[in-house]
Amino acid sequence: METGQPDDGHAPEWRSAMIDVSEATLAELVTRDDSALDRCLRRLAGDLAGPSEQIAGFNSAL
Amino acid sequence: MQPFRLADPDLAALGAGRPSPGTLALLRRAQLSRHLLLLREIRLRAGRNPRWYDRLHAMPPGESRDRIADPMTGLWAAQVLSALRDETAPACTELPEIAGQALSVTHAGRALTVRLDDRGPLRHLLGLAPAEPLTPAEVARWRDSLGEAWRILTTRHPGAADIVEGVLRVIVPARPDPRAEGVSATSAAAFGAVALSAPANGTSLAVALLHETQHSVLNAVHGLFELVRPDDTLGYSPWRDDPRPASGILHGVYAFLAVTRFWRAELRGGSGAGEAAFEFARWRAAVHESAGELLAGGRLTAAGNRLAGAVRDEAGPWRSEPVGAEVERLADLARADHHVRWRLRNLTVAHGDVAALAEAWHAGRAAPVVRSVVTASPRVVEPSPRLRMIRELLRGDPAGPAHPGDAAWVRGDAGAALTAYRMGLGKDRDQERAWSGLALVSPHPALRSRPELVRAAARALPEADIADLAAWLSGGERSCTCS
Repeated sequence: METGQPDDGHAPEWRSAMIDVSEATLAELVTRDDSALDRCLRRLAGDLAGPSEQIAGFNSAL
Repeated sequence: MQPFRLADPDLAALGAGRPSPGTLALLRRAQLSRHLLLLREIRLRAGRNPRWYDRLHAMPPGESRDRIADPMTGLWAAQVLSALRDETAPACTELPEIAGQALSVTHAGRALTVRLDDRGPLRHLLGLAPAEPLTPAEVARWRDSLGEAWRILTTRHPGAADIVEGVLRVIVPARPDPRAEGVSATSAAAFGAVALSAPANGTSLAVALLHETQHSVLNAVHGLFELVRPDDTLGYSPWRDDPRPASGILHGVYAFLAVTRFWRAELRGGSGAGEAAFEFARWRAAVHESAGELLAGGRLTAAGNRLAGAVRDEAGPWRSEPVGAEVERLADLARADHHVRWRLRNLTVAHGDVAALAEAWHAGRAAPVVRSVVTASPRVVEPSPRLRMIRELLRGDPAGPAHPGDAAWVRGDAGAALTAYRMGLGKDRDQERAWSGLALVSPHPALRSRPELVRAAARALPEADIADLAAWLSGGERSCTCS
């Protein structure tokens, strides 16, 4: 997710592109036609489509 | 519905490895939001109410919310959407029932409850081969180890205990790896779930849980604020034998910040002095230097710079804390050993550049400047025999069989080590162990800083003396001419 903050490294507050829907129910979200939700989902889907890997540690090899 | 926001001091505290309870709660809300949005998309694409949807809908609200927030629900939703995108069959089309059993441990009135998932159908998606379903005796051993780990964390590492308590929800027992005493893994799709092989003891479990929950935290932060710019450039990570992207290096830095802090507190508390001092000395420098390199590399976003800067600032003062000269020496040796072995394994010199070097050598000219190139290679796990010797020395164990160069190197006799490694390469220029050893003790800067370059030249010029080549590549005059 990108931040909406200027690229100065010391923004007083960092704002995510991710929307807080944690108070909503799944049923409410399914019936809700909201472009902001769709934008969020596209970003999440982009993350899923990007290069990803499980982070595995091999402790004793270190 | 508002965007998630994080105050700058809270992001800095996160970077320093000290997230507030409020920040941990925000990360959990972010993950719940993520799961809700992914489930919404799966439901909308289905065009009807699938069984899993009806099941969730029929649950009491609190139970449904907990089920949606579960790490394995996030893992399931991610694999379903990935399969839909790729037009392949998902590993599991229906949201699986909760699997495994709850483990609750308590110390000094403080409880930790996690689910030991030893039979769910999605276990393999965490990145390690899952163990077979556990026997009652094996479950009891996990409970004992978790209890001991929790006692260690709550007693001597209360801040770390807060993070584990706030993040960890599921442990998936994994098969042991014959190359390692313990293996562990985390997936970005499953915040709060870790896969672990059966721990040797409570301390190793405490370290593994700290390590893996840090990965979960960083994944969650990255889901909110992009930390690394898209970039395929690979580089050195002190924790891996393979080349890593900046995101992977950042993960290592962040996980080992917590590991380093753990050993620092153990050392201060007087527990496991030799091991604690060594691990603290080794990782404090690696964390600090790697964070600094990330900051200088230009591949982090503004948020990534803020986070990595906080890591560097946190680890910086640790570097001046006393640990004992011998431990410091062994820690330096271990880090140097890893670095030269990594270079020799992952860096190459292009054929054309090697040919130019050979031509210059034959012509008696100064060595041309050539680049070393990172080669993308699959992950390897290659325990270092020198690290094994260092650990034996720290434990006071009798030394096992060793290369004479390694034995001399570990005891600090660089001259004898140099002689032994040179003799080895005199017999066989393909002896990787002798190359890495020579890079550790050679007086020539080129061998110490770019062993892969000297090795490439030595293989192209089998008649040339390696010390002469190393001196030449270090910027010195050629000391001999070849016909």
